[in-house]
Amino acid sequence: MASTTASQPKDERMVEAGLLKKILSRPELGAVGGAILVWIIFALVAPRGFLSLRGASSYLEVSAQLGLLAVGVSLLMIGGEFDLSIGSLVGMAGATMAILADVWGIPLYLGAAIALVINLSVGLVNGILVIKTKLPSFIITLGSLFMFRGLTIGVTRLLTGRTQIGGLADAAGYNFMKVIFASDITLFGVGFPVAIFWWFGLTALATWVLLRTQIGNWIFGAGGDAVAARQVGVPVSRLKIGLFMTTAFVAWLLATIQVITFKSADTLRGEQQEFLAIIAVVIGGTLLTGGYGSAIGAAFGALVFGMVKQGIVFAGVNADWFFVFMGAMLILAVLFNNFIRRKAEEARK
Amino acid sequence: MSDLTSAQIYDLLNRPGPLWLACCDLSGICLKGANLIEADLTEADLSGANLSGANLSRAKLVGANLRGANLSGAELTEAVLRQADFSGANLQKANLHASVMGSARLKQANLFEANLRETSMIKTDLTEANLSEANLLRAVLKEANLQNANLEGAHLKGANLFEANMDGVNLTNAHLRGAMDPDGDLYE
Amino acid sequence: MSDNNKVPNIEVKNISKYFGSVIALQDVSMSVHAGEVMCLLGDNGAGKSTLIKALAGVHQPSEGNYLVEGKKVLFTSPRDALARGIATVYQDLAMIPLMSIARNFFLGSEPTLGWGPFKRFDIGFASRVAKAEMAKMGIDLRDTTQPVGTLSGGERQSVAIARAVYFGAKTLILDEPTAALGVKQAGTVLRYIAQARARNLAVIFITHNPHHAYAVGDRFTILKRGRTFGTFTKEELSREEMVRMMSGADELDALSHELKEFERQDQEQAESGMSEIDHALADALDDEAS
Repeated sequence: MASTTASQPKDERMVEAGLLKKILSRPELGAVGGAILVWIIFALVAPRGFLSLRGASSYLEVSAQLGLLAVGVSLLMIGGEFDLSIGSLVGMAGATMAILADVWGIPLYLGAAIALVINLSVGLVNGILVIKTKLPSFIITLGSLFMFRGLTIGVTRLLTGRTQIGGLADAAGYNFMKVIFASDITLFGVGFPVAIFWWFGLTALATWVLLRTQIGNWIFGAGGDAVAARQVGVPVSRLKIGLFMTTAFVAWLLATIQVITFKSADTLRGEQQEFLAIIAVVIGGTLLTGGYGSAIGAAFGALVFGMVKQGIVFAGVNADWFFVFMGAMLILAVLFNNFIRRKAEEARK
Repeated sequence: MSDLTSAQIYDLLNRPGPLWLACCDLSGICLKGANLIEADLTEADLSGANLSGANLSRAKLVGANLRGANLSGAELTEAVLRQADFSGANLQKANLHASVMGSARLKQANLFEANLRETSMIKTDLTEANLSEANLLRAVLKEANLQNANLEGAHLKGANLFEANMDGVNLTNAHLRGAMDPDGDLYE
Repeated sequence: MSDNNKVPNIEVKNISKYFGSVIALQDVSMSVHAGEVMCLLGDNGAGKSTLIKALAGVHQPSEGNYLVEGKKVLFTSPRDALARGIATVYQDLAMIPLMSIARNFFLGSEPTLGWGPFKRFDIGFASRVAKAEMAKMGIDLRDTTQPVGTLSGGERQSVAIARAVYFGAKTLILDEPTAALGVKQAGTVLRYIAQARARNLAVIFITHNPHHAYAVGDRFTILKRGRTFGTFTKEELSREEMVRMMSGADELDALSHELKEFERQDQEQAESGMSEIDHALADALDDEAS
């Protein structure tokens, strides 16, 4: 109970216990713990590859690619919705700029701009459909997943006769795009792909928005109870549409980074990434029901993903086991998060 | 008889502002059609007075004596008539819309076709009163005494008759649908 | 039918509400003045929820007039009503359990610092003010960052009421705030209602509990099957009459034990001068004083 006339000594003791409780109740705890655990395991099992700076660069790069999606997905899931089409949007954005460059010689930066507009429009449509039809976003975006993947493959085949478009290093505007999206930043003699810094930057921005802005409060509110939020004047519809456009944006960003890094587009890029992104976000402490979560947690979730994917390679284990691990990790993470949160709540009462 | 001369009454009525004649003895006075809007006639004696067609909107007649007075066609909208005595008074076609008549006495009063919409008549005494064809829409008659009253053809939609005494009431052709009966149930 | 000279904060005159062929409200009239607690009483199905929604601006009356401070209004959304100082606290409270008290308090009206893209949510201000407003209502919150879900039902209600009062509500509409609460917690909420009245708000307290209504109410309006059947003061309506008017003789068998309880309590009250809920209210006031 909160309503007591507390005397001084009681309050002082409360302060220490309060700090511990504060730490325990942070949503990121599970993901940070998990990341540390995974790091220790691979440090022991594959020290030569894993503990080197180059090793770090490789697993960070893998983490960054999922992490970029996870940032957008974390904001949307905290806001109470799902976007299962995000993987298909990665494929579509990449194919768009590649086709424009390959078939019509349009410079890649222009092609990327056009792809961005297209992606944002799809995000807008996803959002509007969810709001107007009142169907679960799970369903709407599941439909989008198939529609846009099919569209991507079909149109690409139609216009280019194939499903992969290579040789983009020779395309107009490549060098300019490379600087922004695929260059390496050298630290301590090792090159770290710029994607990692895009990931860190967007995560920091998302965290700031969530915790320090009005819109962030609205996101928590809309996810916690959309009806209650509307009653106090939060523009829930516009907010959710904006969040769908955000996931479409990060899909575009990843697509652009991948197209420039691999100098090619593949219509199947992004496949299954939507599920992995959701897993990373949930590991990071976000509730499936919305209203609670963390962008930093999602970043740690993506980090775990990257460490495991690369760690398995360094440890010489068969890559098939990766999915087994991710599935088990998801369930354990949710159980752990729930356990910690319940302990923290009980302690407060 | 009134203790004011006709000249004095004429003078008072033509002054600007509401009339203040509390406790005055105005029995038998003729104030037919007079403008008495917001007049303060608390405990005044108006027994047998002729106030037909007079305008007493928002007037205060608390505890006033109007026994046998003629108020036919008078305007009494939003007037405060608590504890006033209208026994045997003629209130035919009077407009008492939203007036407050708690604990007033209307024994044997004639309220034929009177407009009693939304009036408050809590504990009002209406024994043997004639309320035929009266408009009692949403009137509150809680604990009113309607013994042997005549409510033939009266309109009582939304009226509240909770704990009213209805012994011997004449309800022929009365419109009771939507009113509350003395037990608290609604008439069908 | 009140002869109060002040212009009421809100007044509805003969409003009706139809949903297709269903008559939810018919010729409903009611007024509330500043510094007054008006209890709106009615059993389930009486039309209370429709009336609240009409007052709150969720939907518009099909007929009749809605006046705020004497002027006719037509609200097209709850935000319109809020803008005119009419705050509604629903049973489900419009509180997000997982969010902190401070964030809930300012949801939708967040205080900000700075301009443009650097506009920050001023959490410090939010925490300080939430703590201060709750203190004014008599709750000492050590930590406004704790989630609202950790508060008891009575405390959550008081956060909702404190929020409405802080944001300048002139009229408070409370939809059955004590319905799911035990006696002690209900006493706490009734205290806040009394304090809102003391701060010169007009309060419409919707309930079907006559004890609670009597403990804080100044006037009582009975709603039944979509109609109002008068507004009464305590002198004009006893608690027992309130119950019988709300339910009617037909349903009294189910309530006979309740009525016997009233008899017992009225007797006890006659002897001691105070009912159970009056005791709870008095205790709550004592806690505040000490």
